[in-house]
Amino acid sequence: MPKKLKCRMVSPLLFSYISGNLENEKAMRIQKHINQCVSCSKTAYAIEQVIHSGDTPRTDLWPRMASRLAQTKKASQTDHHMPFLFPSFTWREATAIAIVILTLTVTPEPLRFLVVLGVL
Amino acid sequence: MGQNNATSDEKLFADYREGDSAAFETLFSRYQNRLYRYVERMLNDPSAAEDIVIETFLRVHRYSKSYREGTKFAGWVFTIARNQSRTWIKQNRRLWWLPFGVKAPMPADNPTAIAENADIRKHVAIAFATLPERQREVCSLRLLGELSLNEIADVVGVSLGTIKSRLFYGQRRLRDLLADFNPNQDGKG
Repeated sequence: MPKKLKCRMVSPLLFSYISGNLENEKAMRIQKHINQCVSCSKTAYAIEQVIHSGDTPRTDLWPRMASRLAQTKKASQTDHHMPFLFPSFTWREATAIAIVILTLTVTPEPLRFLVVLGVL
Repeated sequence: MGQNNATSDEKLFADYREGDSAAFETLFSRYQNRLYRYVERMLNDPSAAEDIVIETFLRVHRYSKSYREGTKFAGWVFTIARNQSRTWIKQNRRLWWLPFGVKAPMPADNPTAIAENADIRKHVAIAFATLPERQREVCSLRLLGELSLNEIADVVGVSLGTIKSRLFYGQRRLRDLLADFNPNQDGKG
């Protein structure tokens, strides 16, 4: 014959009991205790509200979600069609550009004009 | 769609990554209420919670390629929602002095049911708001987000033992806060 449960033994298990995370035998004993104990049944009721009657969004969020998703997809497609905004160079092109810029920077003024003509 | 109900989240997400957009809608409908409850309890702001649920799934779409195979989808999506919530809390910290800022639950479709449950829900909202942030987070993830303890440990980034401890103390505090609440007396005088 299992020992009769007391409130202080039941109390820590109430969350697990209401979440359905207890074994059958233990759950049945707690159910029996709750049926007889006003205090524990009140606590169990309040806990049940925490777990089962949580709020839900005011409306279904899918239409808003679908609209934002469509905008995001459209924006990412637009990005692919703007190659001149962020031109990509190969390392050879980047090196050539860097050399030209450095050469122009270090060349004194009378010769710089000739270098520019040479590059062109 | 009926077939989708039995499909795992990970399989649905793999289908989405291969181009099945219906799978994304199914995932969203599976998670919107769980995520909303968790975020709403963390922020105590229904409107911001809705925005964050949407922003979370936008990030799911945006970063779908960085999702690692074998990772639990629930853990991943709740991690994104948690990061979003924390950013929001940081930005709004000055206005976030609970429990005095606890708002009444927002109206839904059934006004009669709301009137009957308004006291209970407000009481629960205040109880949650009274918890320390870390305990509230773990309790929300467990009780409202329905995550397993291991998933919560992954989301929060602490050990399983710490999660168990926070959950234990959080639930105990919630239970004590709710123990004095008598729904038959409240609102009826």
